[in-house]
Amino acid sequence: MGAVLSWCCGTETDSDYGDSGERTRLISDHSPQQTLIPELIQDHGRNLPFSSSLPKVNDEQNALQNIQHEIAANVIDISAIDHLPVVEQNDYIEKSTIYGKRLAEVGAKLAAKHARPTGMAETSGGDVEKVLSEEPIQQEDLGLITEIAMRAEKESYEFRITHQDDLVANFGER
Amino acid sequence: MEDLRQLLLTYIEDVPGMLGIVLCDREGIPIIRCTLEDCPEPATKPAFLSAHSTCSEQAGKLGLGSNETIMAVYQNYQVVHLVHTGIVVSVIATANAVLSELLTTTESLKPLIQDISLAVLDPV
Repeated sequence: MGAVLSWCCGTETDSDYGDSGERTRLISDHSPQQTLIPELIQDHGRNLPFSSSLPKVNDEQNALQNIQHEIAANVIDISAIDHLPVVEQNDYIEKSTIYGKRLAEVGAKLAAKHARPTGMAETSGGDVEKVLSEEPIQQEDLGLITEIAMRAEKESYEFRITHQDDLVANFGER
Repeated sequence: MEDLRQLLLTYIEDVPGMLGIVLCDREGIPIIRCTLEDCPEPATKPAFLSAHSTCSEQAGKLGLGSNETIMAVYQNYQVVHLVHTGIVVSVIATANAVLSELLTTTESLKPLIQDISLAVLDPV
């Protein structure tokens, strides 16, 4: 509170106010009911550029909480892993049972919806014969595919990384 | 539920080295689990799975944007975690498995996960 008042009252004007300044006690030791109010704050009919009322305690607490929340959100806290909220056994069993029931209701439908193609294993006999009796690809295309595949295999087999520059260098050097 | 497990099993069998797929909520409570015999049991426990949410939250504070996927490579196993529509997806595989294939699998699982999330999780 003293710091707020000193900001309001200025810092280099002690001589204007005699003994009162930023370090002057607001509440006198001799009389607990007497409050020493710096001269600048006393309203003598002048229009002051700032509010003469002090910030409410609630506003300060809210501001402090906001600052704490902001810091907590930005600070990396590794120890939080050691303090994970423990799920009680009852809650664990209850929730896993609920999940199991809900999944059992829709499991078959979801499995059918997201079923993956299994090639020709599920194809009927007639369709298999139809596919097998279709005209095969041309021999030229087959030869091209085979040659490219052999080249790719050879190149990938011979692929090597040759280490040249040092991986570790002093910082700042080029 | 068994139909869904069979469906997840087809994804597991497609990728060499993949051992299990676990879907759970953010607290680590499993929704559905499909694992092979060789899948390590600790990797399917709620204590392990729920740590992902906290790790992901903290990783989002590094200034690189929010965390989407965590890939943890251990000596003998690899685990890929990601969160999609409120469900934590954990894919467990051997250390020899190809990581990009695990990621591709998680991408292809997203439509199914979204439907499971709508059916199982409480609306926020």
